[in-house]
Amino acid sequence: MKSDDNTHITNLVGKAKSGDRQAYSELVKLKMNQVVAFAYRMTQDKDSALDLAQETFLAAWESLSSYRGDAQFSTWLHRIAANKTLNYLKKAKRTVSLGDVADETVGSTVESSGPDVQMQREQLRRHVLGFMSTLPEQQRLVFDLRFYKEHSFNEIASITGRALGTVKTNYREAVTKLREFAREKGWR
Amino acid sequence: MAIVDCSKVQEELLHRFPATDLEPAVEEHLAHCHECRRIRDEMMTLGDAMGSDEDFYPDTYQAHLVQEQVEKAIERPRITKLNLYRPVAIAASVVLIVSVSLISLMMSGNDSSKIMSPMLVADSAEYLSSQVASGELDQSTLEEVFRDFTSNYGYQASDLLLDDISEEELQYLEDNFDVKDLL
Repeated sequence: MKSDDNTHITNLVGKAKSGDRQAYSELVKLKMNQVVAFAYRMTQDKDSALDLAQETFLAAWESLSSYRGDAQFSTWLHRIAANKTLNYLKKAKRTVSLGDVADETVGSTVESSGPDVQMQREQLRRHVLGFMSTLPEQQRLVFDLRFYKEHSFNEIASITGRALGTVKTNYREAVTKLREFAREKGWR
Repeated sequence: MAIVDCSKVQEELLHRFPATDLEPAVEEHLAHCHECRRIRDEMMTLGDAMGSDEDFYPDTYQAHLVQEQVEKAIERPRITKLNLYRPVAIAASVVLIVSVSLISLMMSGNDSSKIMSPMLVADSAEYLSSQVASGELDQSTLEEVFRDFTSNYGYQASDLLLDDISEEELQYLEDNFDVKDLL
């Protein structure tokens, strides 16, 4: 199934590279949720996440000819999204107050059961964003790419342009901090 | 064989988080080590609580809006970024070569007063042409003109002078004078 998806994406990329806008639109549709979700966790702001997703897809379209297929398309796309997002964070110097989102201890209500799944999901998002805000940008980026996007450390090194050892250290530190944070909050 | 060192197990748990398929040696250690098992359980709770990528997906309407914007934007012609480095580098090289050539040409007479100007060449060519036309030109005058140019302006002067006269005049010179030594 996954290899079928990859083949489909490879075909779409090939068509898009030769200027097929419809093929690119389909690629955007396939990758939209993933890019927005990533930008949202990084920026902790819905509107900015949507803007960054748009910028990412336009930048990818403009530089599609430079994509040689060495890495998977999603890896290449995440590299663009990561650069856009880090630039945004650098410019905006955004810092989310921990108290804004993290003090809403979700605890055992995190499980997605119950009558209002949507509300619980929103609660989970706020809670996780609070967690994520405790991390420096690079650690947040590495953690996100590993935990949510399931990229290998090698792929993350390629996306972030950092050494493999640095990436592993970033991830280890991020997980350690999140674990400590969870413990402090009595989240177990 | 079980890993006895707790720090190694905990390092492995951090590194492989949120994976649950651990090495058999790690599993064996966890079965016997309460502290490491507690940490593993904490991390599993953390992993569950962090949700998944899907939990952060935008709603359909928001995604549709972005999709529309992207589609509109890509309908416009693709912006081709002009690579100006190459033409600028070529232009700079040409300017440099021309400048160096001109300077060496100008300095070849070793005297700034002898800098050859196109006007002088034209004047001399005109003089040469008038001499040819009047039929008063003789070998010694011709040699004198070329000698003056060569001594005053450098060896290229005679070539420039010949370039500035017409083909008929050059033919006349070749037919009537010994110009080979002059070139």
